[in-house]
Formats: sequence, structure tokens, C-alpha cells
Amino acid sequence: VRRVRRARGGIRALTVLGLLAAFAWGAALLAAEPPPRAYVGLSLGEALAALQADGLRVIYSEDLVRPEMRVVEEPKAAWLHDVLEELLAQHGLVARVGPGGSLLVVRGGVAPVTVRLTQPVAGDVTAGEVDVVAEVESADPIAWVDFFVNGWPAARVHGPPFTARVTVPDEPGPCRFTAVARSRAGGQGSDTVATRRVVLEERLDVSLRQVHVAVSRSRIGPALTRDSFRLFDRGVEQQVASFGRGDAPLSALLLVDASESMRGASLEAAFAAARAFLARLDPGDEAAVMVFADRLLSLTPFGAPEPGLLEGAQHIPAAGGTALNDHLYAALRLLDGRQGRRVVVLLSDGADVLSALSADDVAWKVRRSDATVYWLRLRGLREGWSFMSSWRDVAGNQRETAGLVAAVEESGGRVESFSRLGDLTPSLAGLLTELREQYVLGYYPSDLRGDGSWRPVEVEVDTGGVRLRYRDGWVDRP
Amino acid sequence: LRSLVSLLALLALLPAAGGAALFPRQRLEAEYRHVLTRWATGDEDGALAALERLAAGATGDRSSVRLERARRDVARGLGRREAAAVPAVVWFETRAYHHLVTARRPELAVRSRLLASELAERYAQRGGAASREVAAGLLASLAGHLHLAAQEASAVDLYQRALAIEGRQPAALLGLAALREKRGDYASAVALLDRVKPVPGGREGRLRRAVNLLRVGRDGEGEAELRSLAGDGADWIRAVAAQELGRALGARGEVTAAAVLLANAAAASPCDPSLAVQTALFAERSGADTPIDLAGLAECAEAAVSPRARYTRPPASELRVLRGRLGELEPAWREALRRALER
Repeated sequence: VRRVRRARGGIRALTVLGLLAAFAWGAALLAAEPPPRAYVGLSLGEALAALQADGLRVIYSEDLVRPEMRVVEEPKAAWLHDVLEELLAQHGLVARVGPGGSLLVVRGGVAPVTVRLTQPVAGDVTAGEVDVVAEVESADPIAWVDFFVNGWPAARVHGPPFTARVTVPDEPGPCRFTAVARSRAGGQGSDTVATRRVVLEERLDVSLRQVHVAVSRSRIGPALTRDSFRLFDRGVEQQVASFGRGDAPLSALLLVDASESMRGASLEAAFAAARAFLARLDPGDEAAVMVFADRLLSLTPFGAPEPGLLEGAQHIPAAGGTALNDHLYAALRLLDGRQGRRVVVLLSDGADVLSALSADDVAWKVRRSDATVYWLRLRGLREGWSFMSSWRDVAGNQRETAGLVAAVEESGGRVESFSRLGDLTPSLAGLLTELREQYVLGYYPSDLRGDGSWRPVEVEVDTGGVRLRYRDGWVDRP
Repeated sequence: LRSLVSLLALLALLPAAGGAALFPRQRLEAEYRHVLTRWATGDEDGALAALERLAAGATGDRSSVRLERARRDVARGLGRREAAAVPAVVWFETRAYHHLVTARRPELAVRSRLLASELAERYAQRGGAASREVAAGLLASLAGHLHLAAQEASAVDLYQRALAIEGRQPAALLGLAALREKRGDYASAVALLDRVKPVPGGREGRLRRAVNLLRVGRDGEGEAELRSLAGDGADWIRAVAAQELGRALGARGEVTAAAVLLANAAAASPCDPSLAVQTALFAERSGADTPIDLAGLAECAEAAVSPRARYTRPPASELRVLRGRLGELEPAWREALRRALER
């Protein structure tokens, strides 16, 4: 018994000693401060990378944080946020809180923009049409406020009161309303509220499909009528239920490439052509403008086609690489929710370099979209033109470009290349005329399966010397 | 006799005319020593500006060759007095290269590059293992500047020279692998990246290796690495890893798994446009109607960065570590240079 007691006593003493040692070690760890990091001499990008490595979620563009910017003065602050502010202030930059609590590096010297969504209130139940109200404060005049619903652009308001009526999508889950205000000096602020949705289960299933047929003739002939056309879906002739000629309103999305290679005359020509295109649209049409490079640079909600849609966008400096596939997919997704004839007009000089999506992904989407894509290729690619990048070799890039051209043609649109920038505006006018003169054949497809299968479509006319261009199929979506 | 008198008179006039002006080489050496003295005493901006003036003044083939020779001789002479003065001059000339490229003076920058690389190699030949490690680091750092300035052929040459000195120099391996990858030589890129010693935080090298493993058909290894990189962090490396893994999963038909993986990565990188788009595509392919968060992307517009664009730029992580280590040696080098200049 004595021996057991002695052993127990020894264990107890060892435990106490161990605890004391662990406590002392922990206290020493807590007391020891990490050595202060030296930033002077580093480039600003290197210093920001060091802060990121320390756990700060800093997001910055290399257009703003340029390689030649160096840290000239050692920050005095201890907290990382304050260190960041001091480092940025040396170059006229500031940090602004962005999505997900990230810290966005933006230009300083502009007054902050504060936005507060006062309506709807977070947690409210919303359905149908909802009035969204934003209060905006800034020492600088406000250029506009963009309203988004679940991330999609819904409205742009140019002056107070900053109120818009938006439609809540009929989907389960919460609904996020966001207001992003931009001052004329370039300041930006935002606010988001989330509400609950009421899902309306009542649906109207309309299965009318429309085929837009562009007709080019080698010789003048009589106008085509409903009886001139024969339409086949999955090889089975269909009865043409409606017939028209280009009078349906257009939903046009102008997709403008503002990557580095478009700098200068190309981008100016693209915006001039876009302005002329918007001016020629009918009042019943709607349009939106998306400007991109390797990221989304500017986006307007769909609205009346007026040159004001280009406000702000046309002052964006061309910079960065081209993520064409990604933004073409985003454009097609935006058009999914629109009515009428849907058209993407892509103004770009090059090929895709930086997209995460491949041309096959775009083709997949094109088959499931009702939009027609037109690619106006500025300074068209020369025969044998090739390039390589970290993402694709020469053959890969050529395959991608050919795949994208095929996807555009599959949509019923076309690719037109230009060697003279001056031809762009007349060509866009011609494209609009072509859209106006398209024949629209409507039919109710027989044997709808909803199984995701591809349904080839064929159109024939009873007149010779005529070339037809149309979307040659669609996906029978579930 | 008259000729002799004239010659003597001329010699007497020498100091008045400024002896150095009559012997340009010595004048150039003196001016270069003055530039180095300014740098050694902490006036880097002044030293760089003085070097730019000196090099810009030496126009014409003969003058520039003379200046080049003068700089080389001064550096070698200093190295004979203090061995550590050589890496000091290499480090300074590397800074000068960067400064002159930024100032759009490539014709002057090339002289700094040639001198820095020659001296670094000489330093490696004369010293032991530690000197070789420093020399390889200096060459890799210089190559990194060339890589960034899109001087790719010269960058390849310098990376290779760095690796000839130190076969596992990580910044050189990473930089050379990126250039091989850009030329479509994926197997060579993998072979180089296999040689990078695994270190904590070496995520960029792991990402580049994983991406290239998929390209050479080593899918299992590549995907395992991508999975581990896509699991945490909120940097561009996680975004690219998730995108490439998502693409591989999607190609195999595992669309829902890809959508979940991408959605998690997108939540961590809300300003990444391609991640947002790819997430939406896979969600759509898996039957969900997830919109792209264009509101978030519009908020980020000014600050946004494309991780895919970042991947195409020269690898920076190992260079940052390398330059940090070389920067720690800088005070000692300046001191050695100052001593050598005073002797």
C-alpha cells in the first residue's frame, strides 16, 4: 500500500510539474510578439501579398497597384488594417469594404458614398413587383444607382429619389436586393438586404417555339409568304402556327470587349457603333450594355434603348486580357430572363485568352438559349494567326476560336470580320436591318419530351436562289 | 627642343584641364565608384539616378564599351578587396536594371543586366556552397525582373544559369517551368516543378505542378493536389485550383460535385468573375438555376482581379521569399562595399 501511495504521489507531483511547465511555455508564447515585418523597399504588390499571407482579405487590381509602386515609409500601426491603410495612403489609394467582408483597394481622393436600402426591410416577405428605395449620401454628386435582385441587374436610376420597381423572381429561397451607387468622381458604395419569398406555383406552360429566319437572295423575287416555308422539327414537318416579319420587339445586349488590345481607336469605334446601334432601335425594344476584359467592367440593366446606356462605360480605360467565353455565357444567362427576340452583339477584336469556360461550354449554353449571337470582330484575325498562353497552346487556341465561331453560327447568328474600323457602324446598321427583315415562324412542337435531347430544326422555302440562316435546333429542356 | 618644351608645357597644363577628362576610362571609373558610394551609404534613389545619367552620357559604341569595361573593372577590384562587395554590386545592378526598365531605358538596362549576371557567376565560381546559393539567388532574382519585363528568352537563359549553379533554386525552377508551360512544353514544366523542394506556403508551385500534371495525363496526382489547394484559403491559388478541378470533374460528368466545389470557392473569392461564371454554368448543368452574382462583381469592378490572369503572369511567390532573404543580406553587403570603396 505504501509503495502504491508513493507511486501515486510521484505521478501527482509530475503532473503538477508538467502543468506548470506547459503554463510557463504558453505564457512565454503569448508574451513573445512576432517580429515586426519590414515593408520599406518592397513593391506595394509584395507588401499587399504579405498582408494577404497574414490573413487579411485584400483584393486589388494590378491596374491600380502597379509594379513600380514601392513602399517608401515604414507603417507605424500595429493592426493589419491600419498597416494596410498606411501602405495604400502612400500611393493615393484607400481600402473599401467589399463583398463578403473583403477589403477592396480603390483610388483615394474621392468622397465616400454611403448607401442604405430602406425598403424592403430585411426579413420581410416579398413577391411580385416590389418598390426598392435607397438613401444615398456623398459629398460628390451621384451619377447613378444600380439595383440588383439576386445579383441580376434590375434597374438604374440617375437622380433622386433613388427608387425602382423590380420583380421578385419566382424561385425558392431568400431574395437579395442590392443597391450600388456611384458618384461622378468615381466613388462607390453599396447595401444589400435579404427578404423571404413567396413562391407562386401557378405556371402557364406555353410551348410555342419561334424560329427566326434570315433570308438572303441572289436575285430579286416576290416576297415570301407563310406558304413559302416548310418547317421540320426532329424530321417531322410542323404546322406553322404564326408568321411574321421582324416586328417583334428586340432585347439586345451589347457586349463590348475593353481589353488591352482594344485600347484607342478600336474601343472608340466600338462605342461609336454601339451608340449608333442604340439610336436605331425602336422605342419598344430594350437594350443593355456589358463591358468586359478579364473581368466585368461595367453593366447596365435592360432599359429603353438610348445612348445614355453607354454613360460611364465609354470612359473605361482598356486594360487586361480577354475572357470572352465567360462573358458571352453571362450575357446569354442575362437574356434568358427577357422576352421577345433576344440578341447578343459582341464587339471584340480577338479571341478568348483567360476564360474559365471553353467554347464547348458556350456552345452548350447556346443550344439552351433562344438568343442569337452576332460577333463583329474588329480588325479580323488574319489567316494563319496564332498565339499561345499559359492556358492553351497554339493548337488549343485555334480550336477554341473555331469552336466559338461554330457556337455563334449555331445560334443562328454570324461572325463578321473588319479590317477597317470605319466599317463597323454601317455593319451594325446592316445587322439591325437584317433583324428587322427576319421571318418569324411559330409552331407548337409535336412530341415534346422534356428529356434534354437535341431537336434538330430544318426550314425550306419553295423559291430558288435563296439562302436561309436560322438556329438549326434546340434542347428539349425538362 | 621646341617640341620638348611644348610637351612639357602641355603636361604642366594637365591638372588645370582636369586630368580625368583627358583619360575618360579613369573618369568613368571614378564616377561609377561615386555611384556605388552613394548606394553603399543608403542613398539608393540618388545612386540609381546618377547611374542613369552616367550611362545615358556614354553614348556611342566606344563610350558605352568603355563605361562597361570601367564598371566591370571597378566591381572586380572591389571584389578583390572585399568578397562581399561583389554580391553588393550585383544586387545594386539588379535594382538598376529594374529602375531603367521602368524608366523606359532598355538600352541602358541591358548593360546592368549583363554586368550583374557576369559578376554573379564569377562570385559563384570563387566561393563555396554559401556563395553559390547566393549567386544562384541573385541570378534568379534578376531573371524574375526580365520575366516580368517580357524578356522571355533572356529570362530563360538566366534561370538556366541559376540552375546550373544551384540545381534546386526554387524561384528559378518555378520561373523556368512557367515559361516552358507557356510554350506548351508541359512535360518539361512538370519535370522542373518536381524538383522544387516542398516547403510550407509553397502553394504557387504546387498549383502549377498540379495544372500541368493534368495536361500530361497524370490525372490522379493532379486532382489530389488541386483538391488540397481548393479546400482552403481565399487567394487566387484556391480560385484557380477550384476552377481546374471543377473542369476535370465536369469532364467526367460529376457536375453536381463540381458545382458545390466551385460555389464554396466563389464564396471565398467574391470578386473573381470567372469563378462566378463557372459556378453558374455547373449549377445550371446540374439543374439548379443559380444566378451569377453580377451585383457583387459590379461592386468589385475597380478592385477586381482575375486569378486566371494572375496565373499567366510570372510566378511571384518564390521570388518574394528569395528577395526577402537577399534583402536581409543587403545591409552587410552595403557595409562590405563601403569598406571596399574606402580602402
